[in-house]
Amino acid sequence: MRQGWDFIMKSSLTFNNSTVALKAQRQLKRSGINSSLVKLTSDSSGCTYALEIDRADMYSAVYIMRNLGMDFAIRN
Amino acid sequence: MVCYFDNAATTFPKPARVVNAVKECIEYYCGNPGRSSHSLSLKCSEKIYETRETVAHFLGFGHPENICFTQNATHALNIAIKGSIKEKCHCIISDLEHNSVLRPLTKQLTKLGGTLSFFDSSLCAGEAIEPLLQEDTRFVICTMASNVTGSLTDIGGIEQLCRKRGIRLIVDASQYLGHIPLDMSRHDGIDILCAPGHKGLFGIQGSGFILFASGTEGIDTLTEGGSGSNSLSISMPVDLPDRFEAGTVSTPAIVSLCEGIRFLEEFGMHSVKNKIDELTERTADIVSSVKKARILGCDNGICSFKIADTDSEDIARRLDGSGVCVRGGLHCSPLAHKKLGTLHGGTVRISLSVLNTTKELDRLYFALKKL
Repeated sequence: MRQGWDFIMKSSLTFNNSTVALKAQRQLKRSGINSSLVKLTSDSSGCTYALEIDRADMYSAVYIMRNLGMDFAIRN
Repeated sequence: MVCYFDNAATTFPKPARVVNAVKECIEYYCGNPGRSSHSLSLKCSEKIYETRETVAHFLGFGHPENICFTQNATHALNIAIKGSIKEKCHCIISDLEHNSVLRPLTKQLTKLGGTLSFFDSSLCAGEAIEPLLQEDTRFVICTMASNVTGSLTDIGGIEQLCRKRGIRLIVDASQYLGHIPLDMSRHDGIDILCAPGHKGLFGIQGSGFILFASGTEGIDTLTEGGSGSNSLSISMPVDLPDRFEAGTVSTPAIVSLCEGIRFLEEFGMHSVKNKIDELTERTADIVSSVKKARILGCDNGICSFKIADTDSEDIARRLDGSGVCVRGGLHCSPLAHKKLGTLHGGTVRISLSVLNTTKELDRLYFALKKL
């Protein structure tokens, strides 16, 4: 169950499909960053999946994603 | 209890872990993967991604997202052939190809006005393919192992030649995977690899995949439809694997493929190959001991033979009467039978899996003696 505080404490990385999102989730887990997979409504940006991550881990997560050359966006 | 020796058509029985995984999937979590936000859909997505990673790891390939699931190898080959060949050109295939290559390729080349040559698979790549090359040769499509004789094509040599000439190479690994270890990191000349899941990899029917080793630039989709992603667009997404997975994929089949590969990994691919080689040798000895039997090919888990001029289907039926399942006929590979001179009457094919036993081969021996 999503708690009210999650909206403040969490941030998201968004991806075009579940495969890329799951690949990213596994890469983050290897670096000790936990995340939860969430489906989004497909919008004009084409992102349909998000990984919700603790805000404290966002900087590292973005660094890891960029290093891996993964295609993602950030949603606050 | 039957003795099943038709594993080149589809492996049977499946390892217990495959059966259990399919049952668990159907009973407890088989939602629609990649479509919804509920837990069952997400669990299916996770299981499918787990399979992509398992296949990629098994093949020493670093990009799980470049593996798209299909219904079988034929489906994968149709995507590869019809999606890649879009203008008039010359293609080369081996003289052992299955109809899963021959039919879609013939249709595509006829539509575009292209031409086709056949290379002699018993020669090395340079000798076999070099003389057939034309200015407009764009694709070589070939099997890695024959489903009629079990013989291997000189895939390393073909890769080198294709790379040197800028020709794209599509391979059919149907009779290779699950019998012989394959490390894609040592096969950088393969552009596309197509495979079924239900043969040597021990998945259930309805599983297969296409692996895009060098990207998908210029490759069209074969089918279009829902992908669960980028739904506002009227075109298929460009991202893999969604681009080539229109419509709901079969989660139970994909999960079965994952467990089949795990079974092989636990067994060890080198042990698998050794066991299949031992069983193949024993099969050759058994068949050779039958009066008037003539072996036309015996390698890598396959033994094809004829007994005098008796129709192969007739022998297969009579063996079935003794509880032994083998396949007679042309095995959907008329080119191979043309090469062997067995277009008339076909061959009897014994095809083995690592789960076959020497005890079962003893029953085959007695059944053959009874003919």
